[in-house]
Amino acid sequence: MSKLKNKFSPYWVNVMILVFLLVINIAVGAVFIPPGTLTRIMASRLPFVNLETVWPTHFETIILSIRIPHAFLIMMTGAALGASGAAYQGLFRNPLADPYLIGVASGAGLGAVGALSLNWPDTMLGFYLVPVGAFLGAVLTVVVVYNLARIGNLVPLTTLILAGVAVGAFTSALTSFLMLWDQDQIHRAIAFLLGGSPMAGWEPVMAALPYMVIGMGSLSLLGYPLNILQFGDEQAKQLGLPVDRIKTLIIIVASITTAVAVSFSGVIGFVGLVVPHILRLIWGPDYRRLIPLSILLGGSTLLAADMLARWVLAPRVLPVGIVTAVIGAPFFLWILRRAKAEVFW
Amino acid sequence: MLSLKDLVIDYGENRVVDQVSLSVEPGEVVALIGPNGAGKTSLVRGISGVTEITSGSVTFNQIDLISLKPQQRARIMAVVPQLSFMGGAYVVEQAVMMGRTAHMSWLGNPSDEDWRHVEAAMEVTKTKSLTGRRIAELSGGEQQRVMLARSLAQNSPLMVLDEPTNHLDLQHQGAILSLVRQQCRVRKLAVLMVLHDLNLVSLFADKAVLIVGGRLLASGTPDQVLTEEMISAAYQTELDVIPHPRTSNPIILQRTFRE
Repeated sequence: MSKLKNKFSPYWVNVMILVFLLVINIAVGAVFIPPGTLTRIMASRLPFVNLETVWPTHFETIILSIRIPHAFLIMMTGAALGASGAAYQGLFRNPLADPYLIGVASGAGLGAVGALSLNWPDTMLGFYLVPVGAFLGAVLTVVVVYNLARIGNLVPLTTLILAGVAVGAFTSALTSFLMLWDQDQIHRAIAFLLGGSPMAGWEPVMAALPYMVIGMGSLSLLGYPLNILQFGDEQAKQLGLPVDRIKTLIIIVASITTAVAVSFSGVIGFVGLVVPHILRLIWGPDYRRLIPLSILLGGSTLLAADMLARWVLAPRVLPVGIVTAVIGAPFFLWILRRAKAEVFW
Repeated sequence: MLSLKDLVIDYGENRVVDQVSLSVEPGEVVALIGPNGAGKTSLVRGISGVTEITSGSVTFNQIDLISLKPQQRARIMAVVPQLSFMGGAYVVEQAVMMGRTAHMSWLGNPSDEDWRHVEAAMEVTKTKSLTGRRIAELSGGEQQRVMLARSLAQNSPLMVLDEPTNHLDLQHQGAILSLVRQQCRVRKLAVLMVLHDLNLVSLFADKAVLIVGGRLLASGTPDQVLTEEMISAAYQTELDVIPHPRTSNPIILQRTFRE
């Protein structure tokens, strides 16, 4: 690990992994499209590039209107979960904070399903408003969980997870209720809870993009204050950080980021837990680097999980949240053991 | 000059600091002493903006420290916290650089000047050799030197220390306090320090301020404050005070074991 650390820039390594997985993700599926053809089809869409069409035309349709938007949405979702996971971990000073485990994703799910049950997505405007519902759900949940879990200025492991589980169960139950109450939306809503079947086509990608850019962009800029917060509120304040304002800002931005991921791809767990943890082990705790890296590796991780989800029961497609949970839950237990033994996270 | 006037701090119904006035001149080490629960740490938290004060004033060269924003306050006052396990994953130079927070933008990109202050602080605290090591891997004495380096890097004219010798052995207690005293003289810092060990107060402080039950009981040179009657009363226990064999500073001993 240390050799890897010294030899390559962490950004370079993670960008390569992301590009590689993005191309593979687009190439594989019911119809395999050779990466060479794939590159040429994509290049032909660039301005000033004239390539002779030597590929079957349905390849172009599959790639441009199905595979690429799907891969982009998956990538953005993973990136958002990775970034918000890192931010929540820094905010709570707790290695087990994850948008799913602390109930924020479920809260966002409730907000999103609530918005769906109002039939918002019937219009284009609705597409943009589902994330708003999810955001309200996410912020409300994080405030409730934080105050339930807090003991003085500390947020201990056990109380955080317990509060997250309890609030998550509560919001999930409310979500189920909404689903059963409004049966027209039940299919979409079930997909939310299982963490799968992201919406298809370019429309959700374009709808998610502004929130993604704002959320992840801001989180990337909050790395330094997150570093200072690791020394506790008291020291952070004495070092000159406006602690309350910064914490509020982090909660809002991380919740926007989680909410938009949940709105368009459902409740997907463990990405936000596993990704920052691996990065921290290899490249250290500096959040100025950890958050951008979590964006990159989060995208890669969900692209890989998505391929597994499409492959395991092919031609049927599993919700990707099932894959991340199967891999992530044992990882969670491993971190739990480590966190008890060490202060190094 | 740091100046506290009639400072009052309440925690809910409890008055933990009651009408305390004191002052600290540049180049002077003032020790804040008193039994457990006397309000020493509350006072530090109050003047550093962590807890709200109820009434009174805290000024440094006529600037009201309480109404300042954290960033402006940190440029005037650096605080060395009690040893804790927080931030243990960061390496030494990262932690020292955090002393520059109040001088940097919120992106945390250090300038050449920031690096100069960090270098100088690590030089005098002899923490340069610890570069690249995580704080959690260090011994208590080393950690405390790093925290001191962080505060020196902050380059603020006022330094407040909260029990800097806690959990340290005799060698490291002396080393830290000598360093504080030396930097206080060299940089003309006003130093206010909470200390438990009265013998260390006697040897390393220019003045002592004795607080009991949130109220100021005595202040003056250690010779004036650390008298048998005064501290036996303050600590509600029988103590003997004898002159140090080399310096004749007052040395405090338990009178005898008690059943």
